[in-house]
Amino acid sequence: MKKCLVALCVFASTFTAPALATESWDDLTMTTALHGLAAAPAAPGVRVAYIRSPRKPDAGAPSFIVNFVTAGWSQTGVPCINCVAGGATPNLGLPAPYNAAGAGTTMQYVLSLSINTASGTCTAAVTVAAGNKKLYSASDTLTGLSGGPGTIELFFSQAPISYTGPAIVAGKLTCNGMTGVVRAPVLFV
Amino acid sequence: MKKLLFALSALLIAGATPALAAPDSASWHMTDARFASAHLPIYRAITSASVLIPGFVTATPNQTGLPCIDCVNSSDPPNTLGLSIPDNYIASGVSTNYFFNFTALSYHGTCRVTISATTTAGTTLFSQQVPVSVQADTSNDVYVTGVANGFSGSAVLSGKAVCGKRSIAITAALYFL
Repeated sequence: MKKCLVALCVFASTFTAPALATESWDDLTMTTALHGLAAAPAAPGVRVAYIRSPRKPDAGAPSFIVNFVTAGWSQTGVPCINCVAGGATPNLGLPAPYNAAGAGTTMQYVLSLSINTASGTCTAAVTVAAGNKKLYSASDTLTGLSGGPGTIELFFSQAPISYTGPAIVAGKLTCNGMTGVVRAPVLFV
Repeated sequence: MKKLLFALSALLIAGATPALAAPDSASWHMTDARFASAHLPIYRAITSASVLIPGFVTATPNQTGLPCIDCVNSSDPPNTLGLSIPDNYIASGVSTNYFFNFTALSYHGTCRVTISATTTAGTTLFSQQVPVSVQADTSNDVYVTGVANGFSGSAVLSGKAVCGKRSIAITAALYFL
């Protein structure tokens, strides 16, 4: 039986979500998002940074944690590693994680993962959903994890879409039968 | 055609006076709280009521010069965030930053931001509240530094902002080694 490590980020936003008679907009959106994560197609162009940590692996701790997922608009030069002016290394440069963007903007979704003992092959996915609409879905297979502590940053890009309104961005990592999921609200204006 | 309104230069870094909440565990030592805010390039004038959007909350090693806004080299336009490498495994004795980001559209005013960690059994490990002054159409970062010891196990990290009658929050998994 698969273990389920759920790090589900809950949120209470001030969005005015569409009212639905039988299921809340949040529930419907999350259901759509979970389906999107489960069936996310492989996406080319995903950039992966695997930064090893000096801490020691701990067999008593979860084998990984999904830190967060966030949305920003695509910008030249980011994301990047060890690129922050005046910042001690290692460091991470991100597009500002506004979780809000103008419709028609090329988006960039960042999925941050911390590895403890996970090894071998893992699958990461990101999806964006609004109600029963799946707005984006992509996945990447992570190979060669050595079981050593570290952080992985995944960057997914999405071509502009015409949708406006509230949505949810969700991220997922599956390793050796364990799954972690996070989510956050996104507003397309 | 959408008009891109750049208000990028108004980087505001305000040293906030933290209103410390008493932690349940005396083994925690909070050292500082910081607030940084940057105006957003809004692609379209937003005329609706104010909107608050939580970004994320995470733990990062405490490193010189981080986190920072609009500080990434070779980025154009400079709407960026510089972070220590996020790592929600906290090793004993390592000085750690706890970081919470949220976006405010149209809203301006004071927000009470709380960053806290709670064990899965419900015990508060630390909780720090910081009043911040938020301007409209900004990305806002609040972070505290702390040194963890005396606890090992799973916890939930939470970032929350109460702005007037509005409240937003987001959580993340955390593990203390």
